[in-house]
Amino acid sequence: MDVLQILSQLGIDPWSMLFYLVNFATLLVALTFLLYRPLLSYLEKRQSTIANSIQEAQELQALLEKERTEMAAMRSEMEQNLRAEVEKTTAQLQEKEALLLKEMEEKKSMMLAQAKEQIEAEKAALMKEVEGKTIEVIKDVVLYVVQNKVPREVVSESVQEAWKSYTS
Amino acid sequence: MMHDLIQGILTDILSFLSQHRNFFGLEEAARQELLAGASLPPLFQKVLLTLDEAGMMKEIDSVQQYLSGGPARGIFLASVGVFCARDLGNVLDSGDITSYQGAFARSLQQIVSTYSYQEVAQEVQHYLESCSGNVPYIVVQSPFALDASFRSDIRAHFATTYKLCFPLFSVNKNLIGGIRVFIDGETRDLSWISRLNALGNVLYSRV
Repeated sequence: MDVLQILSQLGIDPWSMLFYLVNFATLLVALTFLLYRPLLSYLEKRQSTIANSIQEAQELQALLEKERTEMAAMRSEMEQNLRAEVEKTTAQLQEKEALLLKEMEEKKSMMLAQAKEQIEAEKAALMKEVEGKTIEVIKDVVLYVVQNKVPREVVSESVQEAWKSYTS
Repeated sequence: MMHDLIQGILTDILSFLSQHRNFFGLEEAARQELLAGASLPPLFQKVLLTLDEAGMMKEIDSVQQYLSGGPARGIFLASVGVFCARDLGNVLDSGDITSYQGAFARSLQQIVSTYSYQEVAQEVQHYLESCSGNVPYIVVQSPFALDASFRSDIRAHFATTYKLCFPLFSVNKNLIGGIRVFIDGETRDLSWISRLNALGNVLYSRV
């Protein structure tokens, strides 16, 4: 028996098999050209796109990391600068504060001294005024006594004595 | 006022001369004898003794010129000034003109009764300046009116320094005591008030 008979007993027709094979080949070729290749090409494209995207994303991530690092470094530098500025400003402010305090103290002392001087001067002026007024009162009292209470004879004698003094 | 005084004494002099027409022809002793019996003030008797007839005419002429508004020149007018400086003040203080006679006495009486001491002083000062030129203006202030004898002493004192002057006496109660003398603007203050003020100034200066 040959193979073909065996196969026909099995129900496998060689021409159908051939037909099936040709069909399959045709289908395969058609599918290859119409489906598989575009599909594969699409898949490849997609894969490459995805790969590109992934690469891009990786690059972006790397860039991001780089920038993040740079920013961190910059921030750190800025922070350092800021800290330094703050310290410098604080030091300046403290210096100014100390200077202002010193100025204020000096001004305070000066004002106190001036106030003291003024008080002393006013006290002296007041004393002088009071003494002057006292002298005025004494003068008025003496004048009143001399004008009104001194006897006429004493006044008359004073005129005579004054004339003697004038002519001497 | 001065015109009345001058006219008064001149009237008396002319009246005397008219009674003794040969007066200027007499010897000095005779003249003195005649003048002793006259009612003329001693000062003007001395003037008549020093003058002769021509001199007398000249003096009368000077008087006429003065009475017409001219200057006071001549011995006679100068003697009037001396009388005012020396004696008129005492007459005003005492009011006593019994030692004077005739027209001169009448003119003195009129002055005493009509004018105040200040008015007389002003007139006399003006007359003395026209006679002599440099006559000091003297004011003596006192706290009360000085009596006649004290004023006479004051006048006598000033007469020794200033030949012609007529001190004015004023009362200033503010002096309180002592006197104040002004001579031509210069002051000599011997009053009590000035001493009180000086004491006050010393006290003020120590304050």
